[in-house]
Amino acid sequence: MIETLASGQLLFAALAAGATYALVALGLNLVYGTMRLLNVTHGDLVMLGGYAAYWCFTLAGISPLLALPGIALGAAALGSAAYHGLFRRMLGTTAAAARLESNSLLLFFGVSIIIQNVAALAFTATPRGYEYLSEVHRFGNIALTGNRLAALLVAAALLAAILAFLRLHIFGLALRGLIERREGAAVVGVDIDRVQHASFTLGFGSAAVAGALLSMTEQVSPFAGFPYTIAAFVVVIMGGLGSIGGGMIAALLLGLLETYGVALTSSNYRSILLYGVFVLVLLTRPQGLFGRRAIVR
Amino acid sequence: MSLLEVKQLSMRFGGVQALDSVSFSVAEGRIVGLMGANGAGKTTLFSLIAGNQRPSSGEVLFENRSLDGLRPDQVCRRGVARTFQVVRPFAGLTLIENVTTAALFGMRRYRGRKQARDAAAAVLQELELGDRAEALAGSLTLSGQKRLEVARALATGARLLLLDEVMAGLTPAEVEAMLLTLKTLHRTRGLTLVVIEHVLRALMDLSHEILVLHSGRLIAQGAPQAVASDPEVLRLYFGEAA
Amino acid sequence: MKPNRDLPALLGILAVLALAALLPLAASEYWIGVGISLAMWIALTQSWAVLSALSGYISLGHVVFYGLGSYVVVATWERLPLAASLPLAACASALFAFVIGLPVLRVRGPYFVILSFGVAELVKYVLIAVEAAQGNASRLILGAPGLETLYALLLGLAALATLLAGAIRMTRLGQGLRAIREDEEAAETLGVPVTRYKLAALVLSAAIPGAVGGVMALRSTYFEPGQVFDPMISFSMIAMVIIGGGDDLRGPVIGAVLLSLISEFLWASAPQLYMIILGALLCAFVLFVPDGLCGRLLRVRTQ
Repeated sequence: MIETLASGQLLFAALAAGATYALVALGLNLVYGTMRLLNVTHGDLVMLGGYAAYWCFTLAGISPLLALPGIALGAAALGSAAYHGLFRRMLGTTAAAARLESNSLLLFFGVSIIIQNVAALAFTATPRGYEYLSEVHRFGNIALTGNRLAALLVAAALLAAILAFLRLHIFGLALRGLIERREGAAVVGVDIDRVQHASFTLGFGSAAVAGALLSMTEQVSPFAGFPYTIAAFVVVIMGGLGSIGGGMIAALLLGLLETYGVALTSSNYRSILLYGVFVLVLLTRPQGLFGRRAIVR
Repeated sequence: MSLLEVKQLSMRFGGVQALDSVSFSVAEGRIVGLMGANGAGKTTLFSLIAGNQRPSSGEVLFENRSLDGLRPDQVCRRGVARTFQVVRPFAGLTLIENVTTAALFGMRRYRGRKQARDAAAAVLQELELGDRAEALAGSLTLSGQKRLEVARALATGARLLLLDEVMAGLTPAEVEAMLLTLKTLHRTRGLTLVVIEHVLRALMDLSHEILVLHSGRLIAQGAPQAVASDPEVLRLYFGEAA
Repeated sequence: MKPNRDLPALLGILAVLALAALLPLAASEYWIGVGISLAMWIALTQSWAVLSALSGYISLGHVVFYGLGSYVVVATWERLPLAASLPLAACASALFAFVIGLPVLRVRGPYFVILSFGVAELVKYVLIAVEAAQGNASRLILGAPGLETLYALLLGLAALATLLAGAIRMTRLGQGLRAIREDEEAAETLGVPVTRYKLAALVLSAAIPGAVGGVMALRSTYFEPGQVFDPMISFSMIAMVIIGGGDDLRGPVIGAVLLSLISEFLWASAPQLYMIILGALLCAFVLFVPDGLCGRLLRVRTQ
């Protein structure tokens, strides 16, 4: 038992899980940070990205890694359409009261139900998987499959790139500014509409990419998106609402917690761990480990 | 008889000392005006008295009993009601429902909804909102909503009303009307009022006594004329050249 | 005004339910089954509305009370008569609501919504683990009462739930909850004991779903936590009340009837299509008709 715990194997699995969660949560964090919208359909984007990769591979033989840019762009386009078609109008009606926020959450939930069931009708509910890069490589006493390694590397690279963009590029700074202080951002000339639009497209794109990466190692099914939404919420709230860097650290923590937790108990406990952390985080530190905005009286 | 006694009340949040050892008392039946620049601590003072926040130190006594540790609803039932600087009507309910709620829950003197509703209707009349009793609170103009704030506080049956800028944003005519209403209510119901106001002319006219807060400290206290000519007050409000 | 509307509505619904009790005399098993389903949804939606429609704390995890009640009845089936296990189921759910109430009700708005969902899922997975540890992947109930008895029980629960909802709406508790929904801090400042009232609403809204869960366990004679704690039950409750209208005693009934009818046509052939329609209707109503059908009808009549 101790050897398993101390092995690099688990650590690697935890890192891979953490990186995936970070990528999934990134989109939610951006959308929430800039528009204060809790997008419950987020996990469904992951699911759709997974299906896209699956169909690309099984129908056209395209490697999921090669399909990534296409999937990202497709999802980004979807995000763009959703923003211009739906959300801009909703936000324009100054829905500030908590009750309207609850209603908008229900709205998202309804959309999520629709997406999941359309997917179930279109693809049937049978989980689907495929084999890609599943050869095992050995590094010392750590055995890794190629696909998990690839997923980790791609996710890490993307995260680094996005983080750099947010820190260094002027548009990224504008995004962070909008997240920090909305009114202030407008005053210094940030084009709020463009930045919100960007966070939407970036968010959708990164979620779909995460889904595509996940599809290499996990099966896709229409209702599998929800746990990822929950995980994304855990990461976003634990890391502090709107804090991208905090979110990444929280994602890593969640990956560690889940991987080691499951190793110590059993895989049946994976869901208990996830929802347990979720409930705990919402009840005890609702402003997150790094954030400042309180959601409790 | 001192209805309200504030003793060495202090409030600190983060690095800010919002109130610093504020002490004063209000005799029954008096109207005390509270003035000071924005951020001077006036609304914080109200929040502390009404129980919306806990002080860092100090004490508030109402009718010689401490309000320490009481929740806002408990403070209300003791007989203290406050209005909010930014109006907070029950927007989805009608005016009569807004005020009936206050009547039902305030000092709970009514037996049953019918009695509470009748009392609420009477209060709405006194605030000149009677003809719009069935309108949704969210549909009122600012002046109406300010009057609704006062009506609700009144309907609780409270003996001490803390009125937070009930004239802010009103036209001069509306300010005059509100001033008259407040004076009439004070006279007919024997209320004790503590009033925060920026409309200084109205405040001077209304109050028996004025308190001046600056950066959390009480810097002047006394009759309106005296405070208006206090050199410290003049310096802070109008600058050295006064 | 609201009190004047509620009393005739209450009496009307109770009269309809009393009439519905005659159904088994005239109908086939299929229709009794439909009646069972309808009575179940009325009992569930009226209970949910007591908390969420009145106070504004929208619970997306209400199935947890239903599931706990199911579990209690199933686990005590061999040992307790139904007359004891059903009230026990209701009490267990109410107790659970009481225990989680204080911490959970401190969370506001959309966070409360997802928290309630999280709590329901957590309880589900814990129960799955508990059952697995005892070697039960699922449980079977033998010797359950017949359809007519179940129908009568559910009709009774529907009546009770409507009575409870009506009573609360017409008393001070209801008025206080409405004020909490509009502006919780202002309500507290005006003397409403917000914490106590929210907790009371939660506990009251949990009890009957517990009993309903117990009866439905007997209907299906099969208990598997993963199936019983189905989030779609929570979702359906919400959709029915929003579509029917939350601020009216008749709303949940109208929503339940409408959606049960649609599901009768679609459930066997295309359950996903039913869910899509449910989702679409919810979205449409939240966006365009937030007061539901009752609210719309009322406005039309007063014009």
